[in-house]
Amino acid sequence: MINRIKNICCSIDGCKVSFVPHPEQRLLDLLRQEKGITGVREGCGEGECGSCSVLLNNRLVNACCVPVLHVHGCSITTIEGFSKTAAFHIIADAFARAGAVQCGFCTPGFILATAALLRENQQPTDEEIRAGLSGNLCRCTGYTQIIHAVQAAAGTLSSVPEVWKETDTHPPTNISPHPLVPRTVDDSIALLQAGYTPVAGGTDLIIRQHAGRPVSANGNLFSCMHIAELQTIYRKEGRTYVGSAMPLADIIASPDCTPILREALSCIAAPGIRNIATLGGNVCNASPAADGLPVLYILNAMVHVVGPSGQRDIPLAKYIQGPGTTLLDPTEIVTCISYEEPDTVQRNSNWMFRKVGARAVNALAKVNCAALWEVDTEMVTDFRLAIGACAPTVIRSHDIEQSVIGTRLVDLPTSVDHWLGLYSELLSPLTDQRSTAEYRLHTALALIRIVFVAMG
Amino acid sequence: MHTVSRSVVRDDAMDKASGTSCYIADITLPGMLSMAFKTSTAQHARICSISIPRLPEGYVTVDGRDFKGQNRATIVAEDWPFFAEKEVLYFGQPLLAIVGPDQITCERLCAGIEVKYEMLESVSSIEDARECFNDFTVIKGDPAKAFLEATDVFERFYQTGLQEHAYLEPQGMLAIVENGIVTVRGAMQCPFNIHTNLTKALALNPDQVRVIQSTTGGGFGGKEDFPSILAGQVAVAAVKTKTGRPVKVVLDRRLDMLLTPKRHPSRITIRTAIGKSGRITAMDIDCQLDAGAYETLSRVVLERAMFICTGAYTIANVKVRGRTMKTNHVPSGAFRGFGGPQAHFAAEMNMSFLADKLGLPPLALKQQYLTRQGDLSITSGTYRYPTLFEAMLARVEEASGYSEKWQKYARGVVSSCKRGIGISFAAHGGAFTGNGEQELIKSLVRLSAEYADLTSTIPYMVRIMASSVDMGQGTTMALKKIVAQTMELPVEHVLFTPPDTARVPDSGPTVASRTVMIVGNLLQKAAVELRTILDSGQLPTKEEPLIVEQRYMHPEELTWDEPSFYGDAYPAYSWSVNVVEVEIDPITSAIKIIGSWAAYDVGVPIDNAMLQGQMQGGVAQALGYATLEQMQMIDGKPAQHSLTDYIIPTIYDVPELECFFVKNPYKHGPFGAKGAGELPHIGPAPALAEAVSQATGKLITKIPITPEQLVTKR
Ligand SMILES: Cc1cc2nc3c(=O)[nH]c(=O)nc-3n(C[C@H](O)[C@H](O)[C@H](O)COP(=O)(O)OP(=O)(O)OC[C@H]3O[C@@H](n4cnc5c(N)ncnc54)[C@H](O)[C@@H]3O)c2cc1C
Ligand code: FES
Ligand code: FES
Repeated sequence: MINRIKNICCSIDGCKVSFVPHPEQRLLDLLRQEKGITGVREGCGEGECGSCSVLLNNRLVNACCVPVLHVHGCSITTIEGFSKTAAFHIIADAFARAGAVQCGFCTPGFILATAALLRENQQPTDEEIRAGLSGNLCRCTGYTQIIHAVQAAAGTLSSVPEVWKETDTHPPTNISPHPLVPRTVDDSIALLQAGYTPVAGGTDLIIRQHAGRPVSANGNLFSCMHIAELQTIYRKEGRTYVGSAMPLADIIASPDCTPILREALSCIAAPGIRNIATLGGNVCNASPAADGLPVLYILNAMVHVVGPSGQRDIPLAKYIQGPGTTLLDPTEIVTCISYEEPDTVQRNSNWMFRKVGARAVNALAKVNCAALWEVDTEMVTDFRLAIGACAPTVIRSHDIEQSVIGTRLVDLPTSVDHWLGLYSELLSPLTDQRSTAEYRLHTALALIRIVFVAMG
Repeated sequence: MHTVSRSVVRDDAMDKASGTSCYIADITLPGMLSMAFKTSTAQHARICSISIPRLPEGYVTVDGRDFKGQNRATIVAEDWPFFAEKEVLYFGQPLLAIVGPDQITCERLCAGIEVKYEMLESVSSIEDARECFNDFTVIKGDPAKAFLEATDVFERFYQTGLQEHAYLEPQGMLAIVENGIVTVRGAMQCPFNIHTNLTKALALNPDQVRVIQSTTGGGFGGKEDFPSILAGQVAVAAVKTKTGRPVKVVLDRRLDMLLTPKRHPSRITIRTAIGKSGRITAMDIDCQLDAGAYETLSRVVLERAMFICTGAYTIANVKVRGRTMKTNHVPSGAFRGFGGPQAHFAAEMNMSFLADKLGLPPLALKQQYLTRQGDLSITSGTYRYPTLFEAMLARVEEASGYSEKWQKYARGVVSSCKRGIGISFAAHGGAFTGNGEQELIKSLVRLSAEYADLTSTIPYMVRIMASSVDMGQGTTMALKKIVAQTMELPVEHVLFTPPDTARVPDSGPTVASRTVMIVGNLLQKAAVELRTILDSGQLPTKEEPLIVEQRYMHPEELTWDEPSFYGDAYPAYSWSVNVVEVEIDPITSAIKIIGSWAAYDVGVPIDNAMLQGQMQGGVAQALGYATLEQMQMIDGKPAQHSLTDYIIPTIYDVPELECFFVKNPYKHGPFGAKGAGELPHIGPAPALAEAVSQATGKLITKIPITPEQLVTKR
């Protein structure tokens, strides 16, 4: 029997807090309803608007996506706690003076996003400011005054770097393990066998659950975010192994991450989501539009899973069966995803990842495309290409790739249309609320064409 | 710069930044009940039966029969029911609600209710609509003759889509019955409209209803109409439960997007007559709006669109016919600009179209028809005050380099991406149309000097009492500044009572860019009066404050005949010039906005920073309206009804927004101020569309402009 009644312990704004988790609870519910910290606002409940921003172990996250189990042993800073610091006063004052506060519903989120940005980057460029705040929506200001406010705050803060000290938080100590927050893979397998479902960053699962859609057989969850061995990235014998529960932001920051994968993961959502969402989640979610997948397809990724009867290593292209369906057994957990490190990717820039979303950032893909290639002076020696969001799964064709390899460079321009024709037969895009079948096909082919142009 | 324009820091900024401001979602009262809606899954149907499972103790249903007065709200027209009766007319229409202690349980119970429908034929577009709520025609000059004499006639139609307000704070309302008084609190723009509606719906006396605004997280028109509906629904629940327990409902984002009104889609056809001289002699305009399933305030949106149907241009002979078409969609509602953005999109793109036909650069054609002082409006009212287009244009040219860029892009000298630049001119009439301020609103404001035991030299505070709400746009500070400046007091000596119908007089709704111009002006008059009393040596005592009131008086020179729409449609107009520059990705057809510049004549800005914020925020919304913000109705259901799918601009999607003001003091406005809040949403969409037209070489006639649309256009 798993003891669900046990308390989750964390610190909120410097105070140690313990509580019994409810299965459907989000960090946002805990903060607003139980702790009465209403400055953490709910604007969308789907990770889009950033009005629920908080700092989790000093990193920006969206409280509406975070499962409460996750916070066991963590420190949380909300606007309520942060507003007592000198750094807050400098940032808030800059917002007030710049006219960056109108209805104010978005403001606490922007202040925390600004704090998270400026802590790491004392002198951000305009571009970096935009990137740092790209997960926060404001409908009132049009953002210009917000950018001015962040610039002003950065100016003031850079002269008093010591104020950041006060914002350091420390996770509570002497925390006893919680049964739903296992620390080892073995413990998690026991939970899986007892009918529990893993939740990693929660950015898919929690949102689906909150929208009332089923996420598991019985709704019982455990957090797989505290298993140290699922949080590493390393290289071994020509392959890179990425822990399934490693947040995307950490993968991106790691020097061991391949540039093309870094590019693809950087296109996912916004900082607050990337700080908690994982590659394991991206893969297990098996969305045809997932931005992590096309790159993994062309890097011949393997999904490593462990269950009661041992380990299985499954090629990603097999592992993913269709939208939302994988070969994973409910008693298994993905431990890591590995991919081969082709020479090309390390040596030069013969690769491309392009995502086409509805807006500049923070939008799900209408189409995405990953490719890498190698040419010598005469012909194509390696070529791989995958397209997402244009079929029930990512499309990669070994047949087409084989026939492209060996093509003389001089023949490429005349044969492009032939290859495009072959690819278009494999694509079966849909019309939905995000785009049209026609657009997806058109754009996918246009992206494939630029790969061929780049090779030639 | 007038001293009133100098920026001050808003006094609510710190509370908002630190999260201590209290929005309706943040209010929890002991014993509070929740509520969930059973909404229609049919677009148009007769309700055959509703079977409700046995409810656990403490849970009750409420529906239209529970209203002692009437199950209808008056939102201009008296037709929108709080709950559907025999028929449902749109997808998502509430049939009933379940009220009880636990929100999740209420939702589960609602999910268990079975409704049997007999499906009826649905109308899903303006084109398919057969009925209209309103059908008006306005004629200026002699368009028939001009068309007869025309050497050329051009015709084209233009379409605009739905727009969701996407205020960041979803709608919410709380009701409580205490000592026979029903008190409702929530996010709103129009406390007295809600008050009137509750009084009628619940068959209560006015003093048995009290409406209080809570801190409101954005409105943009979205909290003008719908809060009356939500207030009725929670109030009737609070009355029915008879427990005295408060009832609160806060919509989650998806429900908010499903239930609430959006901007009217439009289809506007313009026929243009060109005379012998090659000049535009007449326009014949047919303006159709998708009103949705109930009329509500569509008549006024239509009027406002019709009255400005040639945009900022004056055309000698005009006929405009306007209709609000009845469809099976959620009722369309108030949205910043109120018909103006739709009318201007058509008017501006039509000028662009004509420029192309006549072989002129768009600006060259547009400049010939810009309204000047003394010109006649569509309703034959006089544009009484100077228009400063030359100064505004010079400012925008200087900042944007419009003409030079236009020529460069017209020659096709660009990088790998295709670029284009567009310009638009816009007009917006401030305040209610015609004599509405005089006949319908009759604003009343009150100022009181209250005794204050302060050590300072000024032994009193001045309190503003008006029903204007601050939904983020800065009403509180603007009105305080007007009073403080007029009385030469430090602004800290002026207090603002948040609107509460039990405490403030009815100075009208917070809509139509009227707050500073109309309410602010009344407050300025009251301030002058109060100052005279104080200067005479009279001071408030602890027991007796000094109170003055001011009621609206329509400027004498204005004339209006409502039935024929003849005369001055507005007391004054505000104007803008907008330039937008875009780049189109050659592979994805994504539109990147690389620059946006605009100059505004809003009289005199009351606080520069605040006005900048208003203008920039409006521009960003308008740029979203023109590009990203697509809401398609598929069988009456919004296909994009979450912030994941209904895409509003992020910080990456808008460039640095440059806004400028030219001073043009308006004699009936406080310190010369005119209406400002809606103006910025009017011009950018056509400027952007013109830029895209230049970049793609195809005239854009429909917004939002999506990459999907650009790809198929090729
Ligand atoms: C606002 C927003 C924007 C987004 N934008 C993008 C985007 O641009 N591109 C994109 O690709 N995605 C996007 N997503 C989707 C999502 O963030 C990603 O798919 C993310 O990688 C999911 O990771 P997670 O850790 O949050 O997954 P979770 O939600 O924790 O889990 C997802 C699924 O995987 C299962 N799972 C997780 N880890 C394991 C494991 N180790 N073993 C077995 N099963 C496991 C869970 O049970 C669940 O079914 C967005 C989401 C949001 C909310
Ligand atoms: S509420 Fe919008 S991101 Fe969490
Ligand atoms: S200030 Fe209103 S949403 Fe940002």
